[in-house]
Amino acid sequence: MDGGAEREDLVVDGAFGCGYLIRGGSSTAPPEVARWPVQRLGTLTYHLHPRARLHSVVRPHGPGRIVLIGEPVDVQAGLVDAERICGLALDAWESGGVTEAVRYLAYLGGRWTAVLEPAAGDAGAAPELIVVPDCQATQAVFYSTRAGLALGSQPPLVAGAVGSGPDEASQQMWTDLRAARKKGVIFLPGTMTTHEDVLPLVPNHLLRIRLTGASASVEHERFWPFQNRVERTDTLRVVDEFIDYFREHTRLLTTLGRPVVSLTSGNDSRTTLAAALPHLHDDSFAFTYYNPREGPLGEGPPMDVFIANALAAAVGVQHRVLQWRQPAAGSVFKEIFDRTYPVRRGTTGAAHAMWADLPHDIVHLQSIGAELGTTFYARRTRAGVSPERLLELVTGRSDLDAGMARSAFGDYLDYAQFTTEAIRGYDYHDVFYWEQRMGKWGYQKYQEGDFSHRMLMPFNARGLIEIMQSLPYRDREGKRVLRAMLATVPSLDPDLAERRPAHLADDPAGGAGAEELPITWRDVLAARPHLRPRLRRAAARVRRTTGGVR
Amino acid sequence: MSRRLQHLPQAVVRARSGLSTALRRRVRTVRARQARHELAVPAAGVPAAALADPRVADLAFRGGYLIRSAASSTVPPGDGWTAHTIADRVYHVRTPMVSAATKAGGTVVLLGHPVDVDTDTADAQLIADRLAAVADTGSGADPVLEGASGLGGRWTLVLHQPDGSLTVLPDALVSQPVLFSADGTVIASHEAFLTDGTHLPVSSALEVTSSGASTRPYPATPPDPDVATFEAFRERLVRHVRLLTGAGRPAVALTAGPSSHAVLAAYLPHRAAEDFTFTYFEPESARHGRGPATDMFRASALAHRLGIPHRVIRAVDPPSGSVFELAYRWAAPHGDAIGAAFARHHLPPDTVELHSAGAETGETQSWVAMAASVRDGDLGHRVALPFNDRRLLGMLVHQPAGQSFVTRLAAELGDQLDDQVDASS
Repeated sequence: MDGGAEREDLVVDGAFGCGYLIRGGSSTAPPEVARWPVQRLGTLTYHLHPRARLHSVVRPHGPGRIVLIGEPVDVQAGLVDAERICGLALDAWESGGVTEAVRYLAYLGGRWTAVLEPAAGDAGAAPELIVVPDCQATQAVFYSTRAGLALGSQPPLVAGAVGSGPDEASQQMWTDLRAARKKGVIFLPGTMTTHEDVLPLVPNHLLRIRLTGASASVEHERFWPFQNRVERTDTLRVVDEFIDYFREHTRLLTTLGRPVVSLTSGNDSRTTLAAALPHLHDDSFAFTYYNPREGPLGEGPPMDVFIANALAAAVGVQHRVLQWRQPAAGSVFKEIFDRTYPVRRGTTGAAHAMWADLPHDIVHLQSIGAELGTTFYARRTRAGVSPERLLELVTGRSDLDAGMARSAFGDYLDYAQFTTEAIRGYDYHDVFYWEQRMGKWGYQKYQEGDFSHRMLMPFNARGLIEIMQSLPYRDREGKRVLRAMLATVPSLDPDLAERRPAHLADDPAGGAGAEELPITWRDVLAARPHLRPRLRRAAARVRRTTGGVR
Repeated sequence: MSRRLQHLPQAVVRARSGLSTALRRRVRTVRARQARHELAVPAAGVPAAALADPRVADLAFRGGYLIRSAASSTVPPGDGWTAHTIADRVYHVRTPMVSAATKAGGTVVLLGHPVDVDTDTADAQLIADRLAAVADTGSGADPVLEGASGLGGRWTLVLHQPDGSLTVLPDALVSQPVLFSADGTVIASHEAFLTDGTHLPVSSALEVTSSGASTRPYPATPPDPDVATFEAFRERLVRHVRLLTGAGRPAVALTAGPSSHAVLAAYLPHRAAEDFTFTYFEPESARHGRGPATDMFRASALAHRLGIPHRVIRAVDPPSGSVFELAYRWAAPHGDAIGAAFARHHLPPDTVELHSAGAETGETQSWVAMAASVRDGDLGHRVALPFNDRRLLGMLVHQPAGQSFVTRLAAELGDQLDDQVDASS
């Protein structure tokens, strides 16, 4: 094999890792999927990334075909066997219709996308296909009906299948958002994607698709909440339910491969480690990535390394520190990334570190999503749901132009049926975070791992999120359930784990330090002596100016 | 305009937040530096504030010793010192001490943790007995020095001759300093006990007679170059490391360099329970270069590949006025690596740290005394030195041109570490 072919193999293995493209009607296969396996099931053509898994069950005289792409997990049944899970979904479909099938699928953990295709009916009647994402749409679904039907894990795949190009309005929105929020996470809001006529399937929603010859129509429909939120005050019982559920989900995920935990100093990832701990393999490990350039800028990133490393050592798990770094120009990973994100690229350092330094046969347990059950948007107001309020949530700014809010979220409230009534007693801050932040930003974080291995999320289970969100706000904000879980593994308990080693404990001055004196100008000048002449000159200028005024 | 003014406070808050973290850290560092300066180590070498807390002296002089004539009034500070009298000398020790009498009326004293690779023992008493027997076979100190020169571990030999004279021989890298007064009445490990003392240089022996102290080169002849083969080097280093790690919890100080990798390679054949590797890291080091971060990343990658736990410890100055800070300043008045020392202090107290000091020998005609900072680890645990063996160092001095035994041994780890780590940064 020559170097070029070997390189292309690596690029194909990485680009759109674990992704998929589903086509119907007049859509065509884009070159990105040329080397992917293809399956024709019913009326649809499935292009699967070489590392993606597809499971399908259809029965004679049954209601139709269930297709599951990915790794579904049935926590209630204790199952990771996707064929059997497909069978159970089919049972639900047979007994209770599509509604029951969707409800069964909705409570699956793991990471997957489901397609329900009814058995062929009367000639002439276009069957209604249903597409359901997992809890947080961690395996994203984007779609377009611009030329036939295309559904895929990444906008460029869908755009390539329907002949769509980059969306200029989205690019402008990105620029505006970055101007409004200089640092921190931003994502394309509302229904925007990087490509024209490509729409997102929002978490908690399904697609109803009708294929008619070469064309298709799609309805985007909310299916959750299934019932009104009921706040629970039997906190201890809720905590127990959470622990049981979380442990079981995590255990099942660890059976899907060699589990590896990404660990920081935070409670979310250490909760995952606590649950995974009994099920880790001999060659499992934890890892933390670190950008050395961040060392002098603040304590957060380096403390992630030090604390994660200490936690792993405390529970006897090997720990690895990865160097967060950009890929070199012309490198294989650069090509992987550019192929996957041809329009706009996010940061590549973490993804590159994982691709370059981690084994590719791992199941990576990632803790994003815990904040759905605890809290994320902490500044909550009584303001109702509106495009302006949603823009304020994602930018932290209340002074932005109303036109920008309309561009970002003007059509979203209808598209996602995002109304107080529709979300049935759940706090819109929580639901918005779930559906927008996870749906539009989260999938890219998961893709970062999928370039090389498979990333799975222990918090990606609807039953778990419902349990967590049933608690009063104060308990959620205080991360009550996470703390309870961590208390079961004292070495990871933040109340205990940050204790200093016993041989240092009796040094009263060696602990967190005595109460720190406030920083004065004298301190500033001592710390930054080079400012002294500049300040002197500035003071002289002020004196001259004020002297002149007088 | 009015909108801009309205949101000015918010912008100020954001700017303050961005600046405050870095500034606060910098201010802490400057304050700590000023506080240390104000401690003003007095002439006696003892910060006044330190004397008030017995824990400071306890921590400062672990592994230390002070040998004085009975007439001298110099005593080490703090509790925890064991006193022994041999001939007309009083030994105050915070390190293991064994002695063996010679038939002629002399005494062989060994301070520290000697090991004998040739006889495969880490039993200091056995070693002292053997040296005492050697003393009985000849006259003068040289037979005993010759017998001791092949010892590994970390040690200081004191030979009491029947005529009252003393001969002192340190280990190859002078891992336990030997300071002596001009009249020879006081010999000690720390400047704090002997502020105007003289350091015994590497490859030297100290002679103390009634007329005072003097030094002479030792050994007089260089090591035999015929034994400088990689196989002999490797075998001896592996055996030495096994003896060093017989007690305690082995921990290899790991960086990106071949020296520490060679130590790890020599250690791996006899791994012990609860062993680990470690790297200390100062986040602020990125201001000055990529070396420390590269050490951490590569050490982490290597340990992971070998399946040995790797600890990353924060190198940060201890709080000003803390026990550790005072102890360090007292024990190492010229020390400039307190952050690294404090990081090592966080390791479990039963750690036996395998440090690669001496591995760089080979680029020069002889070896040099190890850096004082290596000893900083003694404040918290035992530091063992696999290369601190005259035979090993001799082989490095005489290794064939163009070869590096250390690099070759490091390569045994299959150490083709990801060069893309740097290349793609």
